[in-house]
Amino acid sequence: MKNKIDVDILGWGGYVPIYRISVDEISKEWGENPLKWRKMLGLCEKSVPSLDEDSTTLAVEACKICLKRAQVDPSEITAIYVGTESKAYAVKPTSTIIAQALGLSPSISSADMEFACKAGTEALTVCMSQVISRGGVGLAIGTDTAQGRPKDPLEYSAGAGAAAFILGSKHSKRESAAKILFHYSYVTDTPDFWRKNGDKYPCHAERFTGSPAYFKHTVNAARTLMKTVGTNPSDYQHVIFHQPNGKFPLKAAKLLGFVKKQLKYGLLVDKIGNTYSANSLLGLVSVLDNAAPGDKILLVSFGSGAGSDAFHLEVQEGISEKKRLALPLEKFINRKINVSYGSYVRKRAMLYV
Amino acid sequence: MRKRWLLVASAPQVWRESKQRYKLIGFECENCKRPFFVERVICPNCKSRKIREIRLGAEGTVESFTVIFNPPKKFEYHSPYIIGLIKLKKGVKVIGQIVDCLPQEVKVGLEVEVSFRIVSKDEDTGLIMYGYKFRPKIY
Ligand SMILES: [Zn+2]
Repeated sequence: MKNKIDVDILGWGGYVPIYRISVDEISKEWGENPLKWRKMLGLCEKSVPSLDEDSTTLAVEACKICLKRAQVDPSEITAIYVGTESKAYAVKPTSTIIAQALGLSPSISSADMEFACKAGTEALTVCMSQVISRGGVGLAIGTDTAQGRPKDPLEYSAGAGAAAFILGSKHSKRESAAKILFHYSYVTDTPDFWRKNGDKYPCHAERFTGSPAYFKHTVNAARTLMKTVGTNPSDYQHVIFHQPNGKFPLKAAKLLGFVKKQLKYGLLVDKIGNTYSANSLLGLVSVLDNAAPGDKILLVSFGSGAGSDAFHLEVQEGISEKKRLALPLEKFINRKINVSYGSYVRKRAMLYV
Repeated sequence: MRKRWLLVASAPQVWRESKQRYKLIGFECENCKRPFFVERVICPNCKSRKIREIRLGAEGTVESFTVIFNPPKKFEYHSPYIIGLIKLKKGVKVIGQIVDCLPQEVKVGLEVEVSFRIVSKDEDTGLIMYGYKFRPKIY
């Protein structure tokens, strides 16, 4: 088959901070009807980072889990790519801090990626190219502590989380959990969501977020990829879409001909909110935590601005053993402390301004 | 106003301490295997000068703790927070913050594991010092 690639996922890991704030708690603060917001957004609560957590620290936690599964010594890693839109520094790479914290060698390729919520799968794509062309073992990360302006609809959904993957090729001669066999990207210049330099919160053009942005890119990327592979929606056991809210991924699934059962493990937004660059990758972490050898997975990310990356994956025998080596994402999703709006404001450092 | 050294993340300090803070690196006497947290030239136990770096490990138990309600100025938005004396698997004791845990949930003997966090941040320059803290062990 043309365009076929062969990249192994050697390890995977996800992390979500312990704090949550519910849609009810936020709507209560603004005198809004919680039922209306819960229904409109299709979510119950979102994850909230502590005052001492940022996209760097979340990424390190996800990587520690990923390394345990990959059974790779940190010194063997040859590349690290981090996708985020909430970098700890405007100028100073996040990737080098993570590398140092994990004990990676200084002789590595390292970069930070930015493409709104698609930055994580962008890091994955670049890492794939790196292990195909140069061999070695690479680390790809999506991480974010997303901010929504108070009272903005985004305040209800902007969450925090990180997902990490260790990739290898056939040259790395290691047990594979899943193979990435096809990849396709679809991007256009679309003004649906942006953040001005120096601003704390993003702006979004309401009428652009649905059809011309999310659905157009997601559907195009998924359809083109399936055409290349020669698959139909029914061939997949699992499908993961970018999930800015609980409704968009369900509608995308319907448009493409997928059924709810296929979304079971990859849909997390109702419990943790929109984790931006980690969003669809955390869906993949959850699917791998639950997948069986032979399962086919379709992953489609979306990032405003705008674009989608689509991946066709097939689960390998090695997954069963690797699952047992580290904590599943479910542990971090179920471990939670719900906070009040006041506590949330303090945790998000809004008291500083 | 002069800032207190403990609270300020200066560039040289961040650079100098990153190895210990990021990876919880300690030291060990090559002769008698006594581990310690602070670097020493001579082993206090056997007087050997052969000291090497070791990873102190990512897990431990709470030996003692206190809850801080009146923190130094720079940490006032973190209050109340928990400071614990943690006995690591290698036998070394270190002091660190216990996070992801309510003050009423901490107790002596609680099993904890390392969590990578922001230790301090210089609000003027934005320079961040990252490092280890501890959270209740997740099973
Ligand atoms: Zn000694």
